[in-house]
Amino acid sequence: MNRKRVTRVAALMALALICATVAPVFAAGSEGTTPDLLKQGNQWVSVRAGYAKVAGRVAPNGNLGYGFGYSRFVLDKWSVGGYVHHEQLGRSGKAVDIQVPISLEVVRHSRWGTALFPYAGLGVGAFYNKRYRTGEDWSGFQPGRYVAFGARTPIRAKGLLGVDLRMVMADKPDENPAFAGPSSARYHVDDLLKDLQEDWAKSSLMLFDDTESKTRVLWSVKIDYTFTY
Amino acid sequence: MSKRWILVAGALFALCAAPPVAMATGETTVTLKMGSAIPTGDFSGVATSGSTVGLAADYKVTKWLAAGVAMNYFRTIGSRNGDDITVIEPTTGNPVGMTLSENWTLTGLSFFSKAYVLPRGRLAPYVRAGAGTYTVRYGLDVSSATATTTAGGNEQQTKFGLNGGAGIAYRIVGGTSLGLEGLYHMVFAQGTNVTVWTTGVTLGFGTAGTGK
Repeated sequence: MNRKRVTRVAALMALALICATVAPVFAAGSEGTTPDLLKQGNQWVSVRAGYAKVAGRVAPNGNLGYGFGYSRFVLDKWSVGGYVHHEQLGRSGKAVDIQVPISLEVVRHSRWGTALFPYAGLGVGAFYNKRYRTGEDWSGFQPGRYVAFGARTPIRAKGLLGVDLRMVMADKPDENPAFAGPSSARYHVDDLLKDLQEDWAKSSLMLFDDTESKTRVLWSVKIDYTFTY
Repeated sequence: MSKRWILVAGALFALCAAPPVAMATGETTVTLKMGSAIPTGDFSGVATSGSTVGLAADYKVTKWLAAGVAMNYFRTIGSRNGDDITVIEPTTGNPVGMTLSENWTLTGLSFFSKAYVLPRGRLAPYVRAGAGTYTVRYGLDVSSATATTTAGGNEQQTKFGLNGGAGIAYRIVGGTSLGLEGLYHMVFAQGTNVTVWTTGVTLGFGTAGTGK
């Protein structure tokens, strides 16, 4: 299951990469000239809020998320941006699962028709995770990567309204009294990298029936408002 | 000078004498890479050689500098792969003989820059460096066993990593190019780093640039 999921995510990332570099056929007519909004040197500041959730068979209900960020068009139609989000991924009673992604992303923008500005991008970042009021609280940073899709439309001078959808892949935290996860007593990759080099490991095994996925996929859908200048 | 060296020198001369193709800015190139992955350092103690595939997209910002995004997948065989061992099955307490099937995979997503140095005709040598995230995955299976066993499973963690190396691309026609590339990847794990050297053939498909 895990391998299939990784393959699906890799395929999605490849699709995003291709989408980011190739304009769709039906938008060909609008790609000839770069709209002023997507010109090199433009700067955008975005604020957004919406829904965030962990995918999976055993996952808490999704909750609110919000964030803000800054993007600069380093080239026509290409922006590099930094974002900070705060996602309440789920609650179980009083226990809360929170994630704060601090990320850097590269996004390819285009224009479809006269006033729709869709985009696709890839990002990586440090994801701060916090589980509290669980009876066994935990917090820490872990790396994560994501694909982002969305579209914006101008609603006023220097103002765009849009929708942002992003899918994050990050490590699943270990089990907790409030939230499910892989056993914390198992061998982690860090342990395996060291112990498998020892002589005693030549005739020993560390994994028995340890097939639970160690990755979790996080989804968020947010309404976005962007100031351009 | 042997015939082989005369042939190599002749081929190099022909490549260098080929009509110069302007290295245009504004080019977008999508590159496929296939090759071998060789674990080094401590990682070579737990993994053996394997293979790699990669997909990258880059944009030429200036005549000599490009920036882009790359996805890489490496698969190497574990050092104990094929070994016959006997372990105590935890669910029954009985000894079970088994043949191991062991592998390591790395899936990386990184941002990178390429600096083209000394372009000559259709040849474009470059150095490359990048940074991103890598998911390190260890998989263990049993290909045969003397009794029922629960041995096996997988474990993975995502880490930050760096990569750097060099390559050369030869423009065949239009924006299509063929090349060679070697990259060294260092993934920061706790206590020990995962280091892999990859070499491979690259096939690039590009759009026409502005020619500035």
